[in-house]
Amino acid sequence: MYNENEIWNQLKQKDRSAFELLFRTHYEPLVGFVFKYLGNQPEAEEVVQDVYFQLWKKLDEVEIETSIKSYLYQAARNKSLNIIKHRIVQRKYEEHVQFHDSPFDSTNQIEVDELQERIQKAIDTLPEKCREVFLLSRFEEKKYKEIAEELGISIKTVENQMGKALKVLRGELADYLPMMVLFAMELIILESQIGVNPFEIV
Amino acid sequence: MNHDSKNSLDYDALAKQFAGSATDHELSSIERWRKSAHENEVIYQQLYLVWLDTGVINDSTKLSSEINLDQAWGNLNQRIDESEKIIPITKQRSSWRKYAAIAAVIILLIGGYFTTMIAIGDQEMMQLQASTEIKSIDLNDGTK
Repeated sequence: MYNENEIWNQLKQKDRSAFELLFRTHYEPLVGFVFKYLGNQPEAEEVVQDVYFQLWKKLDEVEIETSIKSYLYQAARNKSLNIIKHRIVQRKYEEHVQFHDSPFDSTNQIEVDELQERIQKAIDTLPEKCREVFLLSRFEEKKYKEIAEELGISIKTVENQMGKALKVLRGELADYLPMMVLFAMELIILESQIGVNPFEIV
Repeated sequence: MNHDSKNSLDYDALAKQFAGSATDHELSSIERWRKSAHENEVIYQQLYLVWLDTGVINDSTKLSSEINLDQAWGNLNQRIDESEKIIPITKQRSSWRKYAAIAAVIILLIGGYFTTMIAIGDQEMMQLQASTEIKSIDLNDGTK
């Protein structure tokens, strides 16, 4: 490891060996982190190298708020989300619509450490069965059929539990996305006007 | 996706899609829902973002191959070197362009000069022809 202030001062003086130390310390875990978003290793490595490259190029402009590590993770997450946004928008809309106010754009300021902590708390709030199903799907990448077999429940129940998990998580994490707050408020207004819960499945 | 825009939100169907367990029919239904209103697309992206972010707290990462740290550093190092070489190349190119621009202006001026000279020459020729014609008219008058 390195001393945060010391390495930052060296970096500011364009010290390539300090930069190499920073690279070697965080490269692998960062690739693992980005891989969770993108699911593609060469692409994940490219993103992480881009993050480092841009840090080097913009050393004069970059301001580190908490730590260089936090900065790297935040930049890596932003880059990954940007790639995903392009993937989903381009593929679905081709050249019809350029999607500007995407929730993928409004998350830049969140610290990854804080985000992870909040996600963990949000997952902890899930009812037991729901959490079990969700974790099997999300972390072990099991298909619904496999989860149903493993837990001895119907596929329909897996579907319901997963839907429930997504709904609860959205509610728990709502305030980390400005757009989400906006929509939650709109939906509450809608609910009070028409007397239905907009999240209710018909 | 058996709901229309604002009134309901089929979390089950969306989770199924994110988890990669949706059928083609369900996928195209979600597609239609997303395209039917801008807000639907926003909601879709919010939920997908929540889905993606919940994936990162998992400690284990199943990378497809081992990371070659030396090679990765080598690539980055080379990229930085190349990017820092760009500055003199740009300067060279810009000074080359400057000379090219000056040469082009000179060529244009020379070209313009000759074009003008040729035009003036043509005019003189025409005047000469015109005056010859007048002379012959005078001669005709003289024979009367």
